[in-house]
Amino acid sequence: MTPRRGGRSPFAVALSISIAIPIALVSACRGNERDVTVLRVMAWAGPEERAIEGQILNIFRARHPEVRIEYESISSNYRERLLTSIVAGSPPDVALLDNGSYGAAPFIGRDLLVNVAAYLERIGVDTSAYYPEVLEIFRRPGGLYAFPKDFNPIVVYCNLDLFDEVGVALPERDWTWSDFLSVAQRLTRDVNGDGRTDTYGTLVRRVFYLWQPWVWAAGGDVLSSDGRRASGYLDSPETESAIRFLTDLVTVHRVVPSVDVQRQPTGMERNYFLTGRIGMVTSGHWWLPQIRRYIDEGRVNVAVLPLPRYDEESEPVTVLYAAGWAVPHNTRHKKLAVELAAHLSSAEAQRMRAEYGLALPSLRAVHEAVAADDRYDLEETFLFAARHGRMSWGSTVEEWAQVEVQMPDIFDRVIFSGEPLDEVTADIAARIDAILAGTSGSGTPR
Amino acid sequence: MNRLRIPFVLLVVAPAVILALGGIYSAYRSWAALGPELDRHAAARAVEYMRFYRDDLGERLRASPERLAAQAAELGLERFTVYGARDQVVVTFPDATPLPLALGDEGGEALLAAARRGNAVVDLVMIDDRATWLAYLPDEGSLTAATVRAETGPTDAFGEAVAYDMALYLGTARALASRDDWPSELSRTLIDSLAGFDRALSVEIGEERVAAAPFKDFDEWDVTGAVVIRRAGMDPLMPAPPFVGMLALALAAGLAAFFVARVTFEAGGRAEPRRLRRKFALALVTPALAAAVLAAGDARVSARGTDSLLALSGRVVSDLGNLDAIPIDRLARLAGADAARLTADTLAAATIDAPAEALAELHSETGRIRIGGRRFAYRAVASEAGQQIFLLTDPLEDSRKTALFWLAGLYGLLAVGALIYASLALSAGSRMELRETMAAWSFIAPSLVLLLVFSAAPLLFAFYLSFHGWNLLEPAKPFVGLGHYIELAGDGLFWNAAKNTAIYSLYVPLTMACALGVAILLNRSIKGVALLRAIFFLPYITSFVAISIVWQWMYDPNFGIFNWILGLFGLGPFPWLNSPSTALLALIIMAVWIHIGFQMVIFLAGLQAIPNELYEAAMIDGAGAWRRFWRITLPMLRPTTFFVLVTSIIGSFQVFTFVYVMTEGGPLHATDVIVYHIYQNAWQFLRMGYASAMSWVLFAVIFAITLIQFRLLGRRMTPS
Repeated sequence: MTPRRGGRSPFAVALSISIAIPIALVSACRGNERDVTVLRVMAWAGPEERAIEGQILNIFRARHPEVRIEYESISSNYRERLLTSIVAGSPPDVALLDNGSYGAAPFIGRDLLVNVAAYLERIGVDTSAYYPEVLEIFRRPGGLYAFPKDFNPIVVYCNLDLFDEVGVALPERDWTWSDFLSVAQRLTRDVNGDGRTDTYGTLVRRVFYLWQPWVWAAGGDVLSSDGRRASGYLDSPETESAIRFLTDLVTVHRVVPSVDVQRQPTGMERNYFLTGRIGMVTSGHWWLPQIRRYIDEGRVNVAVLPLPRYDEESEPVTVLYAAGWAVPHNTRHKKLAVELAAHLSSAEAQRMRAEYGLALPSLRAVHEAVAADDRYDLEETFLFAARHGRMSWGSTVEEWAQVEVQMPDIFDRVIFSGEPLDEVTADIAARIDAILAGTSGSGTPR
Repeated sequence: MNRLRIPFVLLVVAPAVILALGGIYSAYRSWAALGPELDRHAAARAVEYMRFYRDDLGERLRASPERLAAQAAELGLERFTVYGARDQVVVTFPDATPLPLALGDEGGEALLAAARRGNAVVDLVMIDDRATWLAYLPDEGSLTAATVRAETGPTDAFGEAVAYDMALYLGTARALASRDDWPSELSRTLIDSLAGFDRALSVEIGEERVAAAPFKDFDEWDVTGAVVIRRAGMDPLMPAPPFVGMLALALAAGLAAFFVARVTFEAGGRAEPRRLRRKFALALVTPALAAAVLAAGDARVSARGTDSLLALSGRVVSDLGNLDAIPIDRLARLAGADAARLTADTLAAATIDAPAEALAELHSETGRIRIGGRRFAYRAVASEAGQQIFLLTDPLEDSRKTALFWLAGLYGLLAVGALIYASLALSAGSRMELRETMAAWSFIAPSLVLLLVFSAAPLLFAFYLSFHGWNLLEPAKPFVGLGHYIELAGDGLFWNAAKNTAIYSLYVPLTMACALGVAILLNRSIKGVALLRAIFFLPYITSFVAISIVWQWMYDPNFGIFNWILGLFGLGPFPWLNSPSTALLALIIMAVWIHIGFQMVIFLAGLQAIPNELYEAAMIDGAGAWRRFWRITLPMLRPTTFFVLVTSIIGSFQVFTFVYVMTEGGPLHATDVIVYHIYQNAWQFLRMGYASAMSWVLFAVIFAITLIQFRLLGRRMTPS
């Protein structure tokens, strides 16, 4: 190696690398446009659900050979990812939204979704076929912002084997809170006499979506009717009586194992339910696919009851969670995207999903057909619950995600710190007021 | 020297040659694709302008029907005339069959029905061989048509001269049916082939390759037409993308600097340094100046584009007439292309509150203004009623900033490279020394670039963010100064998270003690020691999420395995993750279990580096096992211990996964750690600025702690 050659090469090489890399990158980023339209669908789905969605999408693919569909299942940070992708200008063409934590309300409020109302006739969608209360979630004056996919009322699953073992008869559908408590107390037992409880009556989870209907049942609510204020509602005597009832199950009656602080369902509650260690669990239709196998194999007998009424005089009530397919406003393929969203909530799609049974079809006819075909004698209760369902606050309150995360603190502070309930609710209500008024920074000042 | 040569050729020269060839090839490909690309761009632009005009027209028709009626009486149905221009642009429409147009008769009814069905307010159809804008006025239930006809000199709907840029792009709007070289059935085929696409494509028609862009109806539903651009040489109206020119300039600058640097070196110490410096500066500055001029020109063109967009919108606004709904002296924010959708209602909806001092600054007719930390282009419009409205839009020239930013970055990179080279060349004692230094630099260059782009740049951007209110959804990103840092000081939850993080980091000394013990036990040649080591290491390489979920089961207070085992000894039950007093402890125990393996491996390496002679000598001197450990093992392990301590403490401050999966910071914020708190603020509350401020505080804390460790322990911990 002569000095001359050696002296020149390294820097020249470094230079050419630093030139070549950007050029290569720039040219790699462009030019690969193929004459195929790509539609991206964003949703949250487990493996089995994905397989079904894949089959549903295949029908659309067969009708539109020029379209390639990419199905993205996001298991965590769904809302954040969707928001950023829309704001960053590369939105999915169709996205699943609900009225819970992945609420459509902020997206509608900020004009981030296509109003599909104008296209209903052209794509042949008859909105009267949907359950009106489910449709209502995605409806605003003059607009419809998603095609309802399905919905879920919260009900009570009962392990009949444990009921039989203890000798408790399954309550009637019109049962009340005191029935619930007495059943839970009878199911809570120390079987082997070692001084520790072996079977429990029920479960209480701190997550708000499960205790919302109890508040309604007691005649209370967490927000004012316009959804703009929590003070005077979250800390009202009615609401507090519901919270008190649930926390008393933990601290006074001791009929529940522990407050579940876990964020993700770990499958534990299902296992404890299936093995007869917990008698009653509040959950939605999404539980059914998980436990169906055990029913089929005869390993467990399950019944479903609606949530209990507050007392003899009150009406039954539950909460409904629904999801729908929406089209972000800045999709580059509006027509195809709207058609795809409509297809995803069409009767044929809903029938395919209903077989798996994560939720109730939002199309009334499909739901009724499914209920008529029920092998487990459970759907009748779901129909009943659906009739007495109310939509979650996430349907209309844009700040719901921030509001909802405040709620579990109430349980924590009452159960763990032993703080007086009225002080806790007043404090949390003030916090929520600040969030709703937009004056709260992080939404968690304390 | 030859030993260096082979890896040098393999690692640097060969990849560089491959990359360079790839770069040249792709540059050539890009260049070859540029013509069709420009065509497609032109077609897309034409469609954009057509839509703009169509929507604009629709709004006008709806906004002033009485004016329209007067025009209609005067001119019949052919009231709107536009354009004359170049020949290579052809507009084609689907319904090439001429339709008789007379309202009330069959054809008119059919059209009316079509317009209603299509929800089309204004659309293009073919009538009597002429492309016609068809307007359906829902209020009147009537159909109005306007013909697009080749005329000289563009005028607008009311006969005034307009400067719609569309004239430049559209050319003669001409029915394809009237063209000899365009068989009418092609139109349908073309339009069908464009359905399902939202961008301009290269389409082969006969033997010709043309760029075609789909033209959609009013609500962007169906493709109703197409704009076809046929190649007729490079479009002179299309400004060359400044990117290419500036890239070339940046490269030229780098090469020039490099060349000067070479000369500098060749001259060695002989040349006069001042002259060399001047030369060098000139080589860098000249292309930079040229690039700046180009950029300024580009910005000016973009600025003019903004102004003409505003002027156009201003005309629409002043034509609206009735602006009662809009408060006087208000600002109306236009969202870019939506300027075309202006009505009294949309304008009223778009008004924004602006501080009085901002309004006071709006003294000229057009200009730029900063409101709430955001720059706008504005134009003052006086309505017929004498109202003054300020239209705001995003300055187009600002959108060029990103491209310029990258180019400047590239240029800077090259310049810095040249500078480094020059200074090395000047200071190098010999050629050999220079060559070796350069070789070293070129080896680390790729990772240095990655570090700069993916670490340093985000770091700096986060620093910038921390001084701004940066909500992902809000367009305004106001400057808040030290506001976030001040808020942070009073944020009890942040300090709670900091406290929890500090407590959590206590797992580090615990783990180190355990890991050292395990390492010493496993630092011997017994059977199966490798397997044992692997078992200890396993947790560290297992998915943290999986670990979290399994431990969650094991921690279950009622049915978990831990409480069951403790129960056998009559202990418990402990609430573990379910109680604020034990949740953090539960996380610490898990962290110890996970990290033992990793630290053990490092300690093992350290132990094996201790010379056996030391032990032998100590044993001869009669030192016992404890004394040997205390006097030999521990001191000799100092560097290892120091490394483990520093890296683990840093790692402990960044804990996130366990908290995220297992407890979400609860119960009662007992496991809320700093990184989780940052995540929550950034992604749940979308407060990027505040979260960035926290990140920087975290950085400062880790930096300070590491510095203290180095100061206090570093000297003692490094081997003598």
